[in-house]
Amino acid sequence: MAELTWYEPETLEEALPLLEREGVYPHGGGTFLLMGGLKKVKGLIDLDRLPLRRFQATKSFVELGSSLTYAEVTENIEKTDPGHVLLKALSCAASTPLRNRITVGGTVSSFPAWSDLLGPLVALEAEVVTAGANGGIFPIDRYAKEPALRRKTLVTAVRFARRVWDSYYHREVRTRFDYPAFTVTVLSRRSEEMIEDVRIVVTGCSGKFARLMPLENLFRGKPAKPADGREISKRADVRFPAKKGLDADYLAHCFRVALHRGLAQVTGETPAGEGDV
Amino acid sequence: MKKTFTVNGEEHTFIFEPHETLLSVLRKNGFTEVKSGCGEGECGACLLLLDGRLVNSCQVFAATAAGKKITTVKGIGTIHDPHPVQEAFCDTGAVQCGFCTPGMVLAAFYLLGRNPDPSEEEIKTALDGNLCRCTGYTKIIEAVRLASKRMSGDG
Repeated sequence: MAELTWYEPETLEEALPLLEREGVYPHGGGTFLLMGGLKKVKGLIDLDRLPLRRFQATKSFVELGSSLTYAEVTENIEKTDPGHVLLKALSCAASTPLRNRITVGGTVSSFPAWSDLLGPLVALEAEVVTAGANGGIFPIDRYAKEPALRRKTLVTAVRFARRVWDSYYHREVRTRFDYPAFTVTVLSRRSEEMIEDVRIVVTGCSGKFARLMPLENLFRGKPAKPADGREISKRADVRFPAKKGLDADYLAHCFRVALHRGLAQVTGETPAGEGDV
Repeated sequence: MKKTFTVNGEEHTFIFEPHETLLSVLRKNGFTEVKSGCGEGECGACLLLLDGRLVNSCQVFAATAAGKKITTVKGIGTIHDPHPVQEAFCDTGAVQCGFCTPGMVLAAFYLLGRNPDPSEEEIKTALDGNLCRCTGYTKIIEAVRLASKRMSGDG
């Protein structure tokens, strides 16, 4: 292993030039680095002293500083938006001690397919705020699919519009601690008679994640009435790679069951929040 | 690297490699109550409190813990003056081989500090990062319930 150097910048201005160095990476909570190995790592930038641990919720948007841990996100969102999809998703991610270490920025920078953060952020149409060589503000789906945007760049925040949604979140696991084989996120908003908006996202499928726009269009702007969710869920064109001990067809079947439950909530067949996670 | 750490209220200066985990550094310096289990953040044997937050010390680089407040299971009570959680684990027979116990006790301590009267489901969730291969969890959950009662003056 190469000698590892730690950098402890106090400001973003001090931190950004360090990203230009070969083999130097940001350190948020460290869990991904420790799991992934340190063979190529020559230096780590400890982000602890930077002002990236803020949570901001205004009337119109929510901004998550990149150094916030999953536990800190859920503690804050529980106060401002109880029932929020991120509260559901991040409360059951990993384990209690790991939720105290895994950071928003660390996850967004690496975007593992099993993340419980990715699906809800795509459904919320979140934006990633970055600084450095490729600094800017990017839609989360673009940021996730273009690794070039992440090079020599630091995620400083993730933000999304603050709106009230009915939410459904499902993670397909064999035991609670397991990494999810896939996740399904369904957000919906209804007036008494009309489905105003729907967003449906699956992660863990081929291509890492997918937003199911054709399916959303079957519901958006339509009368809110019971529909044959089982039949509709079969129309979702989502494929899964075979995973360790899990056949692709089996996963596709489990996905349709989870999606059916999520759609039942959109159409009002089951109350919001029932049957998820 | 040479850094100063505050462990159980006392300052210690440790010399360590930049890639070493907090678990490794603590054990090399005599804090063997922090157990080394899976090394992947799954078993909870190495749990401790870092600035009051429950963490897997195998998932923390020692370099990032310098200057922070570290609490191991020995920091919450002693054999002569045990914490109610430690006492409850003994009284309910929640300790068998004892390897998972420091982590279990700290996870329970962390829970009760934030939620003094947890439901069974909340106890199970709080222990979701701890594995025990001996007792089957029933006694452990009983211990947390007993500690909760005693700490609220009800037991």
